[in-house]
Amino acid sequence: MEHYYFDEYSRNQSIISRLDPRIKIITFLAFIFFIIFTSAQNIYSFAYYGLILIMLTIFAKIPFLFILKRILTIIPFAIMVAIFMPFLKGGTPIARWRIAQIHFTISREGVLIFWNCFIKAVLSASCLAILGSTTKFADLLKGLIDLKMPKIIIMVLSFMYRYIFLAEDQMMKIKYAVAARSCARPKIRAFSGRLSVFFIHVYEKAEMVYIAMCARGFTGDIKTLDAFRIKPQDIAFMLIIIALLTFIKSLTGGYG
Amino acid sequence: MHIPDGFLAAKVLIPAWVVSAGTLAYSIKKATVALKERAIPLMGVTAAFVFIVQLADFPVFAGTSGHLLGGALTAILLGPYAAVIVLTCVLLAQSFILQDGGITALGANILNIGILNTIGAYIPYRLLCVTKKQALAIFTSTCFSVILAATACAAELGFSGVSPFKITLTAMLFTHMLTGIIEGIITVLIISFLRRIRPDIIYKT
Repeated sequence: MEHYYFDEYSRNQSIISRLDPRIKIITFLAFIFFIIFTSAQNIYSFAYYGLILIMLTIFAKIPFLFILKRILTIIPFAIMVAIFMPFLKGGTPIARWRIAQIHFTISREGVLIFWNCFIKAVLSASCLAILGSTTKFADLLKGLIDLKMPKIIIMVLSFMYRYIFLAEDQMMKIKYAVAARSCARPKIRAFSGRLSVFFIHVYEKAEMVYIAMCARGFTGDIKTLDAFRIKPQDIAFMLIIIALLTFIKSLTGGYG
Repeated sequence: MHIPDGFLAAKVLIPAWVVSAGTLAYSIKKATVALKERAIPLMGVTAAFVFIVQLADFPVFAGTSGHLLGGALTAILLGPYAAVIVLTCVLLAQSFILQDGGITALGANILNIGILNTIGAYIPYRLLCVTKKQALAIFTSTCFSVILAATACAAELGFSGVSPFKITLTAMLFTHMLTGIIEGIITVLIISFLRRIRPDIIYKT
């Protein structure tokens, strides 16, 4: 079961996608922690992290454009939150000009704060993008079970994933029905009526699916066709990445 | 609203993780006792519904956009404990699948969207229900919870020193005031619709 958008590349056979999901989750989480706890002045270490991520993307056979598109989701947030900082933070000014009697000053400290958030968010998001796009959702869930995620969260996640297919199907039907019958922009009452009908329809179908699953012996355990065994290459992958990260850390020095 | 990795400082991240993990553990404990047979598909459907609804951005004002949060709807529909679990799952999936919200910032995101937006709606809703004006109770509690979540988000960013608290708060409150009103109206209409068609699926204490 693959989603055309969420699982676009999880079928790709590559070195990265064949790794054990548990090892992959742990390695990428470690990567993100290394990124978060690097101080903003170490521009070189961010460049090295970027280089490792580019290598991983090539090994995973994912197009760069795909990763870039995923990173774009954080840009509006970054701009809305942190764009004021270079102007408002006091400190060493590096540029100033005036437009219509208002002085704009850009300070070094402010730019550093903006850079800090921005580069860390971009690098961490690409880590997650590589992890997410090389792992099937069912494998991800199985990995999370082994990492001791509570059972009810796994259940809700797996049902959510299943029902997204039902929901999208239903959404298309409602969209066509509306397009066939009306031409006006929806009033808010009609819009929420549509949402509620959508919800009820999906719920009723979902309930049938669940009952059918229970009738066939579903107990809440997730079963995948591949048995997970940690192979030597998984350990090697984790050790290489962690060693590289530690090396970069020691090269540029300092935690912050 | 979904905070990415790298924005929050450790002094904000750690308390946020502690509070969310504690609340989540308590909710799981309470919910597993209270769950009925049919609760699992309902929770799954609500999670899928919230996941899709949060994907749909609508423009609010001059380039900024908001999206419905769905926390209040979930809390009124499923009760507070199940709502915390459902919203946590949605955030987890968004982080892994869509890179919307970071993994280290997940604690803070669960606190804002998963806890303040659900329990923050449920408590005023229960209190206002005494007045017998259902629609008003739902509308007020939804607005309140959206604004509460936005304020918490601005405060976390402000404490981390990545954005000037006052400006972010004003921007956040402005966009989320409008989002809150729209979400309030939609929540009222959906709940009253469901109450007419399928009253059996709405959470009762």
